[in-house]
Amino acid sequence: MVSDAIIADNLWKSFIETRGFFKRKKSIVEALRGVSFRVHRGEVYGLLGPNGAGKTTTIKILSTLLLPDKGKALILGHDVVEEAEKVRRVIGVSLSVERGFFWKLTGYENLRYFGLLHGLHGDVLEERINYLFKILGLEELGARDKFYEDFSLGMKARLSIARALLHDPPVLILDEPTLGLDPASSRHIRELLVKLSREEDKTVLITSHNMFEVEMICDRVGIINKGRIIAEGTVQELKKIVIGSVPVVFVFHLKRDKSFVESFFSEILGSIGFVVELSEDYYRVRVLVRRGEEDVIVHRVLEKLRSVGGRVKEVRIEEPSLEDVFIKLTSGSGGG
Amino acid sequence: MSFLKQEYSMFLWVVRAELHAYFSWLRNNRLFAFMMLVWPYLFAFFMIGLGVLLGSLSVYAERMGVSNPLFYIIVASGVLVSSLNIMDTIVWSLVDYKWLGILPYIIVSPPGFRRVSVYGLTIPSIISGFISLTSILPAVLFLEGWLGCFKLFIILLIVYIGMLPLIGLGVFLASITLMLKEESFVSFLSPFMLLVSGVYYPLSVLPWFLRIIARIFPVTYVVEAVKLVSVLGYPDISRLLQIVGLLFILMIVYNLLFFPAVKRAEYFVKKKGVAV
Ligand SMILES: Nc1ncnc2c1ncn2[C@@H]1O[C@H](COP(=O)(O)OP(=O)(O)OP(=O)(O)O)[C@@H](O)[C@H]1O
Ligand SMILES: [Mg+2]
Repeated sequence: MVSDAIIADNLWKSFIETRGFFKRKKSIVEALRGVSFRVHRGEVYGLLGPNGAGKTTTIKILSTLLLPDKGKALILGHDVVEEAEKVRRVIGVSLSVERGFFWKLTGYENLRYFGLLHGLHGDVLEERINYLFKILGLEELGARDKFYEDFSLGMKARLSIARALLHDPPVLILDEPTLGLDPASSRHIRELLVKLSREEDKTVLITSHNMFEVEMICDRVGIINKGRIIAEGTVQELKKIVIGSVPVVFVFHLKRDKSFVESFFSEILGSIGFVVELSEDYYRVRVLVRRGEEDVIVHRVLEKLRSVGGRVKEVRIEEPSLEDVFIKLTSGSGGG
Repeated sequence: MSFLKQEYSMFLWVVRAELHAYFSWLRNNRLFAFMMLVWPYLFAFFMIGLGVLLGSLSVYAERMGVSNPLFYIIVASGVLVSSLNIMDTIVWSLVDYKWLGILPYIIVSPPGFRRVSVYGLTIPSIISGFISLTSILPAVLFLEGWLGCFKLFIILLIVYIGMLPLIGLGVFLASITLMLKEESFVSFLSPFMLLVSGVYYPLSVLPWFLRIIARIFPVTYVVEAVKLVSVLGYPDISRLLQIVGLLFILMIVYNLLFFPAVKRAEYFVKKKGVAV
């Protein structure tokens, strides 16, 4: 009896990129450098990491779309390389949610194509499509008779998840299922995934770089960075990593680019971890400070910011979140 | 036995899916469907116009060795358009699947990449070949009556036999395009086919290397068979059978070439992570 639905054991993958026409330059990108994790049956597991961390590469290997250079992966006991056909029967896959369908076919026609390809037909297929349109809220959005090319991103994402569910697989493998969606669509998808895991005992693996989302729906989380899993556990367990630290958030306006702000802060903060985000003219910098040192750091940052002409809008102290775990693990002093 | 049964049901799944996609697509793209019907006529009028410009139709008939030039030109255009459609359908479908991002979902479907590329792409090509050829039915009826229709039926059979190696060739080329990471060169295929098929002029006008290429190109034989069938009265049956035999040989050769190519293409896609 296998209790782990997904086992990734020391997966390695590198890509060779060739560039140039006459002088062929080769460069090697090490996408995965020994990724290992396990997802229990019926669990929602989140693979969390920044751009280029290796999330999609991991997803592709697990869904038999990409061969690993080294290592092994099993889905419900079947090897993804040796027994790809068996694996394919038990997984539902969604890659990038904004493509992967025929543009000139309607939502219904598209779903029907993939249903037929999975051996469903007749009333069984009709009922399945109706059911999926209903639970994904596609019926209300009028997706049935609309061409895919006229879909909104939210509708595309929902259709992509409907396809993954067509043959009612016990394991779902979804790459950034809510990337770029509005709050309503994201919430709908998140609630559905939790429901599928609780009520139908489906195992769900999602990737994301949205900490908030992962914190909300995942039973366990693996944090991936530069091709390695750097921490794993429940959200509560992971938050223990940042006990004794306080996140301080600076919101300000500054007429300089992001890389300037990044080097500016690392000069001020030394080995203290932080992340910089830019949204609508404002920088949002989250700094993970040791408890008791808040005042000193806030004072120092404000002073320096003023000296380069920054207009500070807000400084606030927050509750530790997954984001802080990530900052701590990837900053100079943390990591490992 | 159970292997055959499984293979047969997978075949059915793919056929159902591709038929559905093809007809839905045609329904949603009526202008294209209409163009498919008139295309052979456009080709034929173009060639007749050119022919009259360079000399009379009877001179053309003599040069090409056919008895009823009008009938021949229309039928040959039908054959050519359907062959072009077949190649285009096969080669572009895989490239389309790649561009649309559908390829990964085909790979993870139970029939998988290989079955969908072989069974799946056969279906639309059979249909598009059929549509192009039946579209000339009215013209054939008008020119040669029921005998013409019977000949057209024979020609359809020959086109289908000629399609067997074309499917191999098409899937082979499609596999190569996937591996090259570059697909635009496929657009040169149709004009090239037009050039070496010998539909509108005798092959002897071509330079020697194109003649060699023409000899290993199935459409050339189909065209030759069409010429045979479009004589008045009974055609030379023994030469016809010879051509059919040759097409079967080509089918075997191309399919031996293409199975390993599709396998390699699949491996390549999975190793390099292109297209998925
Ligand atoms: N087919 C490929 N050829 C070359 N390099 C690749 C290929 N696929 C991925 N990579 C590289 O591998 C690394 C990991 O990519 P991957 O797509 O797994 O990251 P990710 O975590 O999904 O990032 P994102 O959040 O941006 O989707 C990146 O540096 C990427 O450029
Ligand atoms: Mg990704």
